[in-house]
Amino acid sequence: MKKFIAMLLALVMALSLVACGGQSGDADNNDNSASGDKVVKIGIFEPTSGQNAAGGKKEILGIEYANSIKPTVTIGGEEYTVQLITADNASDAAKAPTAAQTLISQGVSVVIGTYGSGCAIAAGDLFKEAQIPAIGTSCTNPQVTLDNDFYFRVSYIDPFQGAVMANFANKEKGSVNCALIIESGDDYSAGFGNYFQQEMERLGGKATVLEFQKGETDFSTIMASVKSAGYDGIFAPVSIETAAMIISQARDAGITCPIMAGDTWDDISIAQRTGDKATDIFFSAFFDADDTTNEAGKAFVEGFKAWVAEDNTRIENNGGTAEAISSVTPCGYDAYMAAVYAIEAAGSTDGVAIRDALVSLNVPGLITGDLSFDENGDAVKTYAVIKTIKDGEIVYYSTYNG
Amino acid sequence: MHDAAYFIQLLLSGVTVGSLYALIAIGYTMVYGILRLINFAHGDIFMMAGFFMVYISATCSLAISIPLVLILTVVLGVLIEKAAYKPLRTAPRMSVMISAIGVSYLLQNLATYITGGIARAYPDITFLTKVMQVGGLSIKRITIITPILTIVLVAILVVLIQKTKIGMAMRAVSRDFETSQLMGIKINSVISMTFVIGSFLAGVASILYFANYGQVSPMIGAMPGLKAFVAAVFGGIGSIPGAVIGAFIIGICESFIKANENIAVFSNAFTFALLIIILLCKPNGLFGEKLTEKV
Repeated sequence: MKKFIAMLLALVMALSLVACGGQSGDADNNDNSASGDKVVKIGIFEPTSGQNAAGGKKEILGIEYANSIKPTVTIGGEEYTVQLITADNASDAAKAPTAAQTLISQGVSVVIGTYGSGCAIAAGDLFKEAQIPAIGTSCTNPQVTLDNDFYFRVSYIDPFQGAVMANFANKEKGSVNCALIIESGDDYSAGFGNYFQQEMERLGGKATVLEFQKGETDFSTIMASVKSAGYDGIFAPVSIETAAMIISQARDAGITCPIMAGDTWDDISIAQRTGDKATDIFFSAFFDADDTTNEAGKAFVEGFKAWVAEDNTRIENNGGTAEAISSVTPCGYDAYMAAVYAIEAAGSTDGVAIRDALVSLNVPGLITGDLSFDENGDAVKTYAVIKTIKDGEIVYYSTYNG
Repeated sequence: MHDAAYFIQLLLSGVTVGSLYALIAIGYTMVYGILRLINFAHGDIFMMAGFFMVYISATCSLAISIPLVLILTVVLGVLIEKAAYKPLRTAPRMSVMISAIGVSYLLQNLATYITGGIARAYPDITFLTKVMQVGGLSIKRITIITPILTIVLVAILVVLIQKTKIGMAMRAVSRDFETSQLMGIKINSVISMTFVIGSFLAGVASILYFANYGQVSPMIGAMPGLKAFVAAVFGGIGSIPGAVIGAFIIGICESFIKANENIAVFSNAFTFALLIIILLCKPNGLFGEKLTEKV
């Protein structure tokens, strides 16, 4: 009797699997027929779980919003519908190649992403071998595009960002003896920290490295060292999740010096989680939503807020509010636009043709500024915003233009 | 170059972390003592307790949500035992352990699915997180409360095990599973009680841990779970005082290693190296009983 039931259960499960498979196949067919079989696939390579999930989801929102603005491309006089395919790299360099492989096997023409340099570096060679161009959103480590003809990037890079923050710390905040808190083994954290340190030393200051391990939650020992050694500034290029813990544990330990970081910290959840402990926080960012001189940016801010407010899932992915705009969201938007313009310029969905189009691409007036790529495939950027946290909100502090 | 305040601060954070490991380690060690099962899902029960708090405190006050979280955590622990371990009671020990690993992954992925993989802010329990100034030190209340609470809970637990009927039943079952069954001990209720105690302590640990660090994420249970497991083995798995002392030693050592820039990256490596060394030199741990296999 028991065996019979077991067999029956197994049979039911097997059948339900077959049924599911059949249904999803139908769904695909419907999709294709609705759009007249003309589809170009763009892969989204982003973390939707793990420590960078909050950032990854905000970039995906930017990409999806851009897709809602420009859902089709024209190739050779014919309209193609853009189909977005998402693969989760789980914020983990070990899992990133699998996600990249998923996108490659689905036959995407271009890949957009990712948040977090470690995952971009881990997957870069796969895209190169498959001859699929990838457009990095906010992965700022130079190694992402270096020696890789197929990786491009719309954001500024860490040597620039590191220099901006070191100058800011040294000259504006008078932090000449900084503690540099970095996550060991993380490409973004170590790389960015290193450029900060170099520039700091060039300016005659000092930055001492204090390392912690991935997944660490207790920073009280590091804070004890910071307090005991009397550093006058903390520079912590770390993930959003870690940021909130570093800020609150530093302030709890009675450390009052400025805490500085890079682009990752432009995320409202840090302000939400740290509450009134978020004082004297400064970080560089790609974009300022309140900048009235940026025409494209203004239109984006209005359109994006309304688009997010339409849907509860979007609001949740945007950090529980439709009002805040993280500066990685425009990076997602710009990367999508770059991809679409490149496909149109190439007049083809072939990876090599799109790559060639990207090399000579020149798009004026995108949200984070005019877009063209240098010989490494990096966007030519000389502009950064420095933001701070005030009364639980992220606000503009100063602009760096050099 | 460092002053005394610095070392006291390190010691305090080591003791706090150690006592949190201790609360989790007791769950491992008790279940092992009775079922000879390493309950790999224990770290994830701890994580789930964190998420219970996040969701419950969104609608209830802390006075209601803290007991509710503890009750739910206990229910979850007992349910896991009934669903995933009890049907395998007569199966080889390896099957139960694989089932435990399965439960662990199930809980992690369930939490990832429900939360969308993003860390959630833990409600601020101001009573615990208030910072006090003592001399040159800034000390959170939680740093003092955690070790005291741990010691009190362990003392109660030891009394429970040594002086009560259910405690006697537990000791009997951990000695000899089958004979105690023959002697009329209701084995299922003893095992349920073990999971009740283990999950309750994991729930208490989760409140103290997440109140201190401010956020919960789906994978956060793995590391404290592993460290607590090492602590349990270090102290002699099956022994409660052993688990507590093992946890304190690991917490304090970690704290001092992390404070030294040159070797900070090895703090996790140290813990696991310790596990290997203790298994090689003293396989039964510091306080483990040497079992003689009877033929």
